Amino acid sequence: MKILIIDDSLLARIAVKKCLIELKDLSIYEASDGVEGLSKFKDINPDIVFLDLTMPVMDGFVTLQEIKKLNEKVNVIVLTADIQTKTAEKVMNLGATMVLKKPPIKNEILQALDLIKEQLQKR
Amino acid sequence: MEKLIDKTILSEFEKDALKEIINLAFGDAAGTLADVMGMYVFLNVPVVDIMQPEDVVKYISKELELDSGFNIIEQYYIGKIKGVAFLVMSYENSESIISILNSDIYSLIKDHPIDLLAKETLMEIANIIIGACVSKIAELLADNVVYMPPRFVGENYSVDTIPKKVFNKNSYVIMLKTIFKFESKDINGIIFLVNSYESIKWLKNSINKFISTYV
Repeated sequence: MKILIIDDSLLARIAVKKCLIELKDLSIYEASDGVEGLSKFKDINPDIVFLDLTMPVMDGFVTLQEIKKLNEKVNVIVLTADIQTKTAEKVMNLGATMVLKKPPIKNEILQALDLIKEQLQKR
Repeated sequence: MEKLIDKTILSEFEKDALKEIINLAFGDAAGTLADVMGMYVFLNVPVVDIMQPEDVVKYISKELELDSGFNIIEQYYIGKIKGVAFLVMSYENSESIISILNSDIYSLIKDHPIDLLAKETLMEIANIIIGACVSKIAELLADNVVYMPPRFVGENYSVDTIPKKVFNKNSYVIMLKTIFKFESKDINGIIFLVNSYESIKWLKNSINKFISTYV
């Protein structure tokens, strides 16, 4: 399974990777803004994207829209510090699979991946 | 002789972590502000910089680049981390935000530049957003801060007005900046958190503790 983490914070990217450390058969890729993220997305066509919203160059909202244009079915987990309900509504309307609050919690991340794997198997 | 700023006192990774801390803090603050205002708040990427106290006003002026005048509300906070927060809004945006919060009585005050009620409103907004933001930063760094009441300082701000007990002129300040924007009304404001450099060792240690718990 290929995972792409798009976040301008190196610390945040490390935190997500650490949550995934015990999982096998994962290839993890990283990008530090939306533009780099889109470029890597085109190259690797990941199964799951972890996406931050507050980023320089191209924010997460625009990135999400662009990703969905490239692959409507890809699972995008938005990881954000923004606790506004409307933010969650917005990104879900843009096609996010789910929204998780920062900082990432290992159990939540793993549960999210299990849920996505289940859904992928049903397809 | 010009002082040399040791900007490397915080590594790039520590600055990255500090940005993430501000990001988390402002995420909470935006939620509080959105509830109070009933409007969606956009968040911007925060900025971390280290500079000399005399460059603070220059930096803020340069960052503003406003055609019209602006209002500044300041609020001091003191804990292991101590400093002063500034909420800066253009006259136009200040009027808009005041009119939203006080729509019934705005027609009575709108012909006056910034009267008492308007000042109180801006100070209340500053109190909410600065309090939420700084308290979350303090919480994430295992600190506890107390606040001085917010003060309306208009636009006539000078670094000489900063109490010397907060900022040593021979030292540096840690500048944290973020911009907030209300979606539906095209209103924005800037928050500057100017932190004393005296606590840099404590801050560095606390950032590293935060990093170790975050990852």
